[in-house]
Amino acid sequence: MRGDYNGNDDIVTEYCVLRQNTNTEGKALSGRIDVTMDTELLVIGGSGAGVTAAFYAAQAGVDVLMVSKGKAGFSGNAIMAGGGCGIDGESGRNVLGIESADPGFTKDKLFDCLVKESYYLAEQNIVQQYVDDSPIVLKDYLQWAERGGSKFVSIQPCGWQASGAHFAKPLVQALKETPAIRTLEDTMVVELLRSGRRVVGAIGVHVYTGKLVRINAKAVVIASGGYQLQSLRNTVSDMTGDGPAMAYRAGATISDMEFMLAFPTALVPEDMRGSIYPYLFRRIPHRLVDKNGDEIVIDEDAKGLSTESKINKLVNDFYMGTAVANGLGGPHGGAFWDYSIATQEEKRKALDQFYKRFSNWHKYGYYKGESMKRVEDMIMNNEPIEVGLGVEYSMGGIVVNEKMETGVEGLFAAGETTTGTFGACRIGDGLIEMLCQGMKAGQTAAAYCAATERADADDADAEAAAAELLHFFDNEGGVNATELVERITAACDKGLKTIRCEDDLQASLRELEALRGQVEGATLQCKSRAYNLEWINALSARNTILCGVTSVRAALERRESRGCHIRSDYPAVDHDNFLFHYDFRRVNGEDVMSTRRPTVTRMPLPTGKKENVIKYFTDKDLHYSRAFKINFDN
Amino acid sequence: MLVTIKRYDPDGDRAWTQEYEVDTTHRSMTVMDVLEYIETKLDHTLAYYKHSICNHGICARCTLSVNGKVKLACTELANDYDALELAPAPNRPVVRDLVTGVPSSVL
Repeated sequence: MRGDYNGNDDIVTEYCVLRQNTNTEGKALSGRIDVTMDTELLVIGGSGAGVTAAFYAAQAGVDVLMVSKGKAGFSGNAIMAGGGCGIDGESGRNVLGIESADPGFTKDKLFDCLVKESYYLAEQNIVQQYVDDSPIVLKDYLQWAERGGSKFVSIQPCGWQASGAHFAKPLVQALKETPAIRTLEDTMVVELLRSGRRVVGAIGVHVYTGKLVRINAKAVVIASGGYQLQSLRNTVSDMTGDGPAMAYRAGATISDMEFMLAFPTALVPEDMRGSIYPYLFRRIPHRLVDKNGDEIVIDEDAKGLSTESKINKLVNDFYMGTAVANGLGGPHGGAFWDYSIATQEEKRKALDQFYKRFSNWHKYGYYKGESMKRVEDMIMNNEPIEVGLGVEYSMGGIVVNEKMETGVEGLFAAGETTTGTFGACRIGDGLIEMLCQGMKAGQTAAAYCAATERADADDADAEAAAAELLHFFDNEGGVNATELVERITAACDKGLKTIRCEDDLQASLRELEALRGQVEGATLQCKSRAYNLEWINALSARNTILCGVTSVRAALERRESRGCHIRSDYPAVDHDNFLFHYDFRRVNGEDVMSTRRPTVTRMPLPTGKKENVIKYFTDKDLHYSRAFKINFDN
Repeated sequence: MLVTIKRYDPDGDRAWTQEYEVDTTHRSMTVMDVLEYIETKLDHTLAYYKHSICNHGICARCTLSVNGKVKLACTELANDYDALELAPAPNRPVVRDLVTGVPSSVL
């Protein structure tokens, strides 16, 4: 029994080219690598981007090995999804044949929305790929969903609402139907292997046994998700930025690291910290109040943006975040939602509607696996609920083009681990991004594999990389790895707030730079390799520290506000001086930062300034509207 | 609150129980919160399901035995108990401490 994984036990991991402790000639290795595996394409990550990359590559006849940190198809953040996702209604009607789709929300309209929502920082060629390819991948995805038993509820203009588990079930189904895809679960890939400058494989740690696994491949797709660096997060436990960090060390460029999306997340009851019930309960009439009970006033024009659209997240970030930044937050660092403005009948009706809707996927009265009883009592008793802003998604990551090429030969990337689709603010759907980018990465990598001979990394290089992973066991006198991770998180909390400022960011950077010097010296009390959380922490710290340092550096340099990067000292959106990406590349062992203008294919970049990130959206000249409404009555 | 944890070290094939004192009077905690408190503040060597978990009752990876009953660590309220006795989920091979279930075929 492996718990309630919806059929994952059916995915039999095959190790037909797994060779215990032997090298390519079948000789025993004397070194540190415990197991070597060969494949044509290595896919790192077992959520939507990884599964779709693996599926389309396998369909093209390429031998694929998918390695996931958790359970294949159920790994990563897709299972945490709380709402819905969708595409344009024109494609919904014409490509998917969905009669209820609203063709008035056209492909062009979706493109327009995504670029504007990104504060014009999206790469327009990548947005085009999102718009063009999402209906194609959804054709397959919806079939897997049907056969896998997912329950989707239609939403307008052309979308699907479900629980995270039901969004992941189709991925499990795809793997089940595609036995050609080999999977290796519970394995954290920690370093890419190269031959010259080309990426030709990777090394991972099998978490249960602690064995080091070397994978030789013609090409690698990174689909391992993003980085959630702050302590209040509503994602799975291990979004440690492995993808961006590994790619960076292998020569790729990472960018937009300062942009991370946060939204209303539970602080209380304390044992439910991290739940997204507040966001789901946003339709129950409430007002925002500060610790003194005074209302946090949302400007009238911003209210219009709010409840029915995912811009609600940004509106809450701005107003709740500002109150907290002004010292008006509660004991847990949040603002309060006061439901006393609604009548008991209104509250009861809204709660019942919510429960009914979500009983499609959860027990009635529950959200995910948690009973809402205590929260419901607080709402009905007019007890203000302290709500925080928890990170959900990182906009930044590995720079790719519209084919999901990274610029490093043999290395491709897809999903949250990349940057380009959402620029400074994601209002579109991460679930759609993961699917359409996964498909594209799988196709591009498959074509590359077909046209390319294998080239293995030097055994000596692989051994040296393995030694770097194992050296933590010999460290003495350094900071304990578990404590180090806590300090990195605390330093990120200090700088990467919802509302940022120079002093906080400077203090955060100083701490992070100091901690960076301590990572390789981190110590482990437990010296066994089997399920050693300290070791996993040490290996994760190498990645989170890089994501943290680059995020804070870019946030410091960006002396403006844009999307989810909101600065109290530079509140204006400044198109004239900051409409570019901050890129990072490693050159001769140094982090080199540079700027790059977004790629424009259709919509010219704006000029001028807007008063703040909210005024950017309420400005009538933006001509922004997204027809995305969830009808809760049906 | 007294927390007693059944521990196992595969390297020496050594099994023992260990007691920890965790203050749960000032906040509500799940069993997962208790384990995290012990791991970060009291004993870094403790192993429990922590990688790739959802923490909200979706993934069911954190299954373990709480005072003799099979529960999810992430949704089980520690405050509902006077004392906690934590052990690996029964009838599964133990990897280390509270972590179970590695398929024998893997590596």
